[in-house]
Amino acid sequence: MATMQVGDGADALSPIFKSRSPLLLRLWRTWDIALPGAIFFAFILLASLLASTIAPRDPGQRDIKNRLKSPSLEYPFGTDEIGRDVFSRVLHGGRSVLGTGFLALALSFFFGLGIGIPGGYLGGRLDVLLMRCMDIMLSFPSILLAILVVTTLGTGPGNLIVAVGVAQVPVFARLARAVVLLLMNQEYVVAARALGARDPAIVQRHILPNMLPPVLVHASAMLAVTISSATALNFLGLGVETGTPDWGMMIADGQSLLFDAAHVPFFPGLCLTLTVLSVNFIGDGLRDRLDPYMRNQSR
Amino acid sequence: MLAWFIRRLIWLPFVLWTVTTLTFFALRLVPGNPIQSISNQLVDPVAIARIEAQWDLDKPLHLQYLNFMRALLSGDTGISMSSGVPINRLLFERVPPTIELALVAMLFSTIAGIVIGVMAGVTRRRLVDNALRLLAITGMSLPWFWVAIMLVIVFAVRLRVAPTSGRIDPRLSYEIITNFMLVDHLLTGNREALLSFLHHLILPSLAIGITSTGFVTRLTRAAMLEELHSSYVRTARGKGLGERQVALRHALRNAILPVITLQGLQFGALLGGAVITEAVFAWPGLGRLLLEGILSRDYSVVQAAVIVVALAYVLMNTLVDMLYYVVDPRLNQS
Repeated sequence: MATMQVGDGADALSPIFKSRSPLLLRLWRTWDIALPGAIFFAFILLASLLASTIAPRDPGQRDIKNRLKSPSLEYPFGTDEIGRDVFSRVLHGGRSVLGTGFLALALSFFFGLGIGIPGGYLGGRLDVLLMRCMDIMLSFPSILLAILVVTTLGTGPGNLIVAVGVAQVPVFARLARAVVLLLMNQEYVVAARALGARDPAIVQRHILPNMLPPVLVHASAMLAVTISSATALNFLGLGVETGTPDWGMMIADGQSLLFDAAHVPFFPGLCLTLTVLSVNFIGDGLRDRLDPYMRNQSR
Repeated sequence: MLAWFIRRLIWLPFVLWTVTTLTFFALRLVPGNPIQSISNQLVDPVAIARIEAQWDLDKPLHLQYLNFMRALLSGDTGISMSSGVPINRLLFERVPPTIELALVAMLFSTIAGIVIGVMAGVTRRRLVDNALRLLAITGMSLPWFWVAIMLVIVFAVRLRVAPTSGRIDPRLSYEIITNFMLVDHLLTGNREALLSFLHHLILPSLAIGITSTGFVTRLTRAAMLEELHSSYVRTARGKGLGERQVALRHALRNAILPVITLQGLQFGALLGGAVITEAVFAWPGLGRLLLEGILSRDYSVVQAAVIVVALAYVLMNTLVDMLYYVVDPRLNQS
């Protein structure tokens, strides 16, 4: 990872415009598994965003007469123990899951960069202090840190986001710091400094734009982590309120139905797995693309 | 090298202290008086005052902290607020099952991950490599709790080859010495109990191990590819060594180094996985203790559970770091 070359993203794109083979094949060669990952993720994102339009039923609507129905044309994912349509609930649950995942990621991204950039750029005691703080946060397994934060703040969707986000801050802080240290030795930064540019200008013009590609690639992979930990906390009952359609909570509710209606926990979990999988595809494909070292090795 | 060891050992108690302190104060930030939740039935102010005094809740925060640290250093973790059981006893009951689970999951993921990763790394057939790569990413993406439930549905409910929950058949009688069942049953030679325990252990450890198998596989593959392109491997090939020898004797020995680090870091994830997976299998471990503590607002228990998990994680990381220095002779010299 240390050999990651910054700004390679643009070069990686060039084959698209040179080659003459069909567009899809060219895209595949360029983006590898990131392509199917992105397509599938876009599909899930769209389905969740349009949940209220697509969903055939209200996610909270009970229908005791039709409880625990197996999947059928009428109920594609079956119904749960109080007759709610699992398909509609999964669609609505996607919103909560993706929303929490993205917001938690954004939180850890900004705080991580806010800690990592000054640490790496200014160095000295500030750097030592900041990084030691991050080390201490890292001495909790991340899910445990999230649980601790949720316990302290109390449950609820907002606190869930904070808990999941805070747990990932040190990861971004360390990454941002490492990339900044790498960029500081680049000629253009040294040149800018020699020309008398001030620190804020150097960070804004030279460091930030160049650190974004590798950090964003990492962020795309981290979305998988924030989504999984948010659902895990919901599964444990430490996140959103009972009754809210959320994949983690639906799996937890379905746990008591293993013998009669395995479809109730199966479908939300399948969607969760596919979402995380598509995010990991994007992250993995992008990393192979943007890391020239990996590219040479794997071809 | 020696200086590094010493620095590491000085840093360790500092981390342990910070983790403990942080947990202590974080839980004191929780809104509301913890005593309210357990003393709902109590209206007698004298009784409430007595309970508050028992947990130091009537004292200012800094005194609570000093008393807590003093007790902790002498090995006393206090008494559970909700059940009145000494926390040391709860820890003795609950810590070994979780460690067992995490270690077995780690063993599984290390072996499976390295085997699959080496296979993906040495194969010349892109189809095989890509298939194994997809398998690894899929493994990484499986959420613990869902895998756990699916394993129960398939192997316990449908095929009936494994038990759905618990740590051992409750009808068996056995002796508890260390509460690490593997050790206890081997020591007492209780074959029946040992088999029952292993039978109960398979599904939970598999549920936790699958995810990290994906990570190990991916890293092993990348490391193998890197090593197989290095000059010493070319030399080994030039000497006329077979490809098998080159891969296993030369490349793997170096490729295994990053895997050791990964597994050290994974141990935290595995402990976290155990915390979550225990909920599915009714595994009587730390995770369930932690969750029970949170739900009953028993902060003395939550505090102890969080601290123990963090301590185990920190110790494991230190151990792995040291192991790394021992295993990698290059670092020894610098």
